[in-house]
Amino acid sequence: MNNRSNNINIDVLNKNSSVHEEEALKKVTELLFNDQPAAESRVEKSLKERLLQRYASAQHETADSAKAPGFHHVPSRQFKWVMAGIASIIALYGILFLSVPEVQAATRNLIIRIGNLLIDNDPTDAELYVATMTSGTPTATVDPNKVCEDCRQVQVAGLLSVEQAGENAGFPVFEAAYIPDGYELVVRDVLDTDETITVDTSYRMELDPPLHNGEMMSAIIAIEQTYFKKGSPVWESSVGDVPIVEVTVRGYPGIWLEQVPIYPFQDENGDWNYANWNQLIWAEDGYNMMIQTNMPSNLLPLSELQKIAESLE
Amino acid sequence: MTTQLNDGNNEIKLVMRARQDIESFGILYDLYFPRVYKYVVYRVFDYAAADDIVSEIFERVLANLSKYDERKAPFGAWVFAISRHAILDHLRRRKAHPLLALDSLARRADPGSNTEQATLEHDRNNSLRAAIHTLSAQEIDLIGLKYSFGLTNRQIASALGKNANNVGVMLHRAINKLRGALAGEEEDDE
Repeated sequence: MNNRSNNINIDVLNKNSSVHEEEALKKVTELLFNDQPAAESRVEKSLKERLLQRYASAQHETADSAKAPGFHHVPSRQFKWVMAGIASIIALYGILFLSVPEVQAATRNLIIRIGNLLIDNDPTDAELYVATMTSGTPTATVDPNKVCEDCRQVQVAGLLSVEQAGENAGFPVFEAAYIPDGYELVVRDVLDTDETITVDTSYRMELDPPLHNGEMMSAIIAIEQTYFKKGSPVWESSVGDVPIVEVTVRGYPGIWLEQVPIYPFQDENGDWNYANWNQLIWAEDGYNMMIQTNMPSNLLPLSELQKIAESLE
Repeated sequence: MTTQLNDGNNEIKLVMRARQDIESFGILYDLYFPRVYKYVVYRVFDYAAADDIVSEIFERVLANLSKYDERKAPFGAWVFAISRHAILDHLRRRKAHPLLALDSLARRADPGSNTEQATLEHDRNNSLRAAIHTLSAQEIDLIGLKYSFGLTNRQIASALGKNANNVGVMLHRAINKLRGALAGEEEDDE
């Protein structure tokens, strides 16, 4: 303990410092929050592997009775008959539907981690918002159309060069060498929040005639490169009932989501509708990456988004 | 919906999934390993022992996950209780075998980088951990529940069977003591 205290060098900790006590205490709490001794551990990875192996063996051993590890309840005879009935229905359902990969993904209620994002099939913000607004006692406090609550500067989508975006973000920015014909670069900007720095690069193409009864006037392809700052917790991203389809993007594990209800809006009759977007998500070199579009798959298929992804450099 | 996972409801969902789904258990482990390790290091001040104790804690978490009742306590409080028992078991064993001397934190003094900044940060963190070790076990528990497991004062009060206001006062006192210990170390070195 003798060789390191000179390096503390935190004035506010000094008893004789004139800095206000509250500030000093705040500094100590910051130190406590930021301290991460787990970096010193030599077992973090091996322990996880061991536990997961044990978990998998327990699952395997109890698969017949569908028990989770550590579950020791002995079912009654009546309960067993009920379970047998349910199992038959599930089996029949499985024969009918589970051979289709997309349906398989949806029925598993997947939860999957991509970089710093945990993606699941819970309702999206837009769906929660509409559910609340149509509940009879609308008390929605989350506006899914709101862009940012903790942005460091006023958000005016700009058109920066790749170099400027890189300077603002503090990291190299991916640029797509391939974008389908007709699309024009309209936004390249940096969104800096408490937890993340995101570079948004968007392309637009005017639609003539518009789609969806004249409501969709332009096609958009947005490329988002997000860096989660040090100490940022894992984020949950819910995508509603859409199938979470596992894909490989640029050699990395990723997911493909079709028609995620992202933005809610009311039509002229007051009925709620959603703007549904397709999303290709993966993680690469410490960044969470997403290419999303408001165009349906028949007009802009996954293969085109993959092509854009492959062209990023 | 995109939210931070430290939100209570999201965590409950994750725990419930972790009972049935190996991937969710892996995610839960990734979330909790740093928290548990931090608390254990604060209590035992010994990395080698911390590795053993944390392994034991997660073995117990896995074995008992189905018994956790989310209506009774936050998951963090439940893991904390398991952690505290495992640490007490370790301390009892150590008392019975005094020849197993304490490992020094300095044993893992390599910050993993040669930069001056990394060395400074590493030294500062070790100083903090050493200063924490001068607190009483109860004070370290409070610090651990607050800054490792991220519980609110009310949740800490519930976990320790104390009044929420008292928890606030005791925490403030512990942090003040910590500040004094850190300042004292700095003066000693000068």
